Amino acid sequence: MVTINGKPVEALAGKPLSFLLAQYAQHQDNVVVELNGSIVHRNEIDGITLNPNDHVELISFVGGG
Amino acid sequence: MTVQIDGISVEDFFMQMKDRNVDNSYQALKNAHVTIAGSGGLGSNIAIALARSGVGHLTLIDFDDVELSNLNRQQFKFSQIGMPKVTALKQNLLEFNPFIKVDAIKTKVSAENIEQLFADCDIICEAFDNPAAKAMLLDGATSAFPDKPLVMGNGLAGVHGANQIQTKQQSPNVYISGDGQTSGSEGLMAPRVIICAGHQANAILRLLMQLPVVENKEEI
Repeated sequence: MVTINGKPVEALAGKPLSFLLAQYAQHQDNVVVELNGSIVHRNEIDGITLNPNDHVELISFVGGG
Repeated sequence: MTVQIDGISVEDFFMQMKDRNVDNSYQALKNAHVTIAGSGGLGSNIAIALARSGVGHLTLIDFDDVELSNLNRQQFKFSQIGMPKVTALKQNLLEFNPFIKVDAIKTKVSAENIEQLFADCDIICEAFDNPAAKAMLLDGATSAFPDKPLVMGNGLAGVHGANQIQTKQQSPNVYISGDGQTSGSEGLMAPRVIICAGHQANAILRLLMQLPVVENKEEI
C-alpha cells in the first residue's frame, strides 16, 4: 500500500505519481514531492509510476516570510 | 596598515565579539559565505543574526523595494522606504558589523538563475514570502546543488504558540523551520517571524560549526 505523509492510501499502486499529485496536492506549485526519502524534481515527475509500499511525502509550503 | 572604522580596528572589533560569542565559533563563521534568498521578514532578521554572529560573507537577494507595510516585521526603517530592500539591508548590516562582506543583488530568483546565484555560497538560506517560490527553490537548489545545505522557513504567521515553530531535517541537506501550517494571509506579526528567523539563523550557525542541526533533548 502506498503511504502519503504517513497515512496508508488504497489503490494507488500502479498509478502515475502525477495522478497522486493532482488528487492530493491543493496547489501543485507550492508542493515538492519526496518519494522514499528522495526529492523528485519537477522534470522527473512524469514517467514515475507508484509501486506498492512506496512512501510519498508531499512537502507543502505556506505563504509568509 | 590596520583598517579602522571610527577609530576601531578590525582586531578590536573581533576581539570584543569573541569575548561574548561562543568559543571556537569565530574562525568557522568568519570564513563562511551564506546566501539568503529574500530580504523580507525572515531574510532581514536572519541576516542581522548572522552578521552579529560574525558570519564573514553574506549575499542578499531580493527584487523588492521597502514599503510602509513591511515595517511591522521587517528590519527596515521609516527613512528607508522606497529603497531596494537589499541596499537598505546591507546598509543596516554594516552598521551592526562593518567588518563583514555583504553583496546585495537586486533580482528575482527563478529556476533559470539558481545555478548561477548560489554557486559560490556554503549554505543556501530560503527566506521568501511566496509559497511557490519556496517550492521552486527547494526543487532547483537540490537539483543543482544536492550536497549544499539548504535552510528554509515554512509557517510563521499569526500569534499562535511560539513553541509550535520547530526545525526539522527534511532530508540529509534540507532543514525546514516553522509550524508548517500557518499562512501569511492571516497576518504576519514580528515575534513569530523573528522566532522562525532565529531558528533558521541558529541552524546555519550549527551547520557552519559542524554541529548536528537537530539535536536530541539530552544533548542540549
